Amino acid sequence: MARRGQRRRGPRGQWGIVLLCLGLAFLPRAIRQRARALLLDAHGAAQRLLGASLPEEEAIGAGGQELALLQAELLQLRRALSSARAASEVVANDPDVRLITAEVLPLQGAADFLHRVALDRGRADGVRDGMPVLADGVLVGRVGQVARTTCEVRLVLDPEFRIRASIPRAEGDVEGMLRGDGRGLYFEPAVLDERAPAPEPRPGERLLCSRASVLCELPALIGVVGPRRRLAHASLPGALIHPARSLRSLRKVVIVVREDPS
Amino acid sequence: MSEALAALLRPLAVLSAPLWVVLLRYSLADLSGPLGVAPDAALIAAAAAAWTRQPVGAVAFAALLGASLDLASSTPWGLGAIRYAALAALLCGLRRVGDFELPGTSVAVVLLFALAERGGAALTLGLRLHLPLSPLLWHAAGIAALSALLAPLGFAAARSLAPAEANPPRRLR
Repeated sequence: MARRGQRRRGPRGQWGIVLLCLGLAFLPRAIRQRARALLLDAHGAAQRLLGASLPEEEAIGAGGQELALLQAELLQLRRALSSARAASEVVANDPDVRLITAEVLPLQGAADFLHRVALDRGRADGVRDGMPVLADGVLVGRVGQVARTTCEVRLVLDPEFRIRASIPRAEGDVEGMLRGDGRGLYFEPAVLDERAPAPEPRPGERLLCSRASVLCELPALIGVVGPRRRLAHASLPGALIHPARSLRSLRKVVIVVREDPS
Repeated sequence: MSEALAALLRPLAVLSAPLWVVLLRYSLADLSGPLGVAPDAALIAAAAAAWTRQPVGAVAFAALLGASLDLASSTPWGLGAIRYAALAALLCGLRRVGDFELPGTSVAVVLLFALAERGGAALTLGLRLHLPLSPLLWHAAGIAALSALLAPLGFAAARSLAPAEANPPRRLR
């Protein structure tokens, strides 16, 4: 046993900091939200400054390899164009909709239960709470908190993500609620007509945002129905959903802004 | 490097340390294994700082780290800072009581810190969002166990980056 010789200073200072944190947590909600928004902006600025969000292709060129840099840039632009085209197709018939492209900044660790990212667009760009976020035409999340130049997106797997979704069928859509639980996506069908047979999702069917949803009126693809599963509290058997777009490799996304006709 | 420059850069390095840890944590974002758990650089850094550094600095570091990581939290902002700071202060107190080091201490320290922090976060999240607690707590335990495995690396880094306690920095004359 090796004794460590030195004694440290008194413990008052350290507990003072804890009390300070306690005071911070009990500040009025508005102040804390503002502090969080400022921190979110600082986080975005730091990430942009340090290039932490650079994709691997761009990092290759950082060493002065100009050709690799240009090729990586071209690849990025092609991807962005493809993503924008896919999003444009989703909103093609909606003249009140505007698209904002944004770069994804990481906001969490490898194994966090929450699934969030930050985007380099904020209030100054017209982003507001609740706006849908698409990648390659697929709904990947919704805007959570908005700071001046940055915003937070709750991805579809996040436990706080809820949206009305539907499975399109010739005989009539199956409406229901889609929710993330931190590890997967679960679709719970709803009974809209009690005389009709209970709706059951079938594996392989496509799941779209419901046109009746007030949160995302676009019929954007979300995922594909997987194996059936019944949650403890659910009245009908639902199904697990495989997201149509990998959430790990998000680089560029599109925020859907609905212009106010007035 | 002159002592004056070192004295100027030192507070800057200390103040920006939480930022580097947070960025390291994000850059390892694709590391999670088949069970969806991965070691957490922030837990290791906060525990290592609490065990090897001056209490006030270590707790301030942990509080800043907790506040930064609380950005992506589903609970009211500020709880992360309290969790990190309080646990770091407790760890500093524990070190004061048993002022010795056994082989494997770093693993035990990180395991304790990570279990308490991730467990606390899982409980808060589960209760707030009405999620089943069991998977959340298992997830927290997985992260704690993997983080503890990397603890010796984190402690070695903390001691080599700032060996101030064993060899106090020379004062400016």
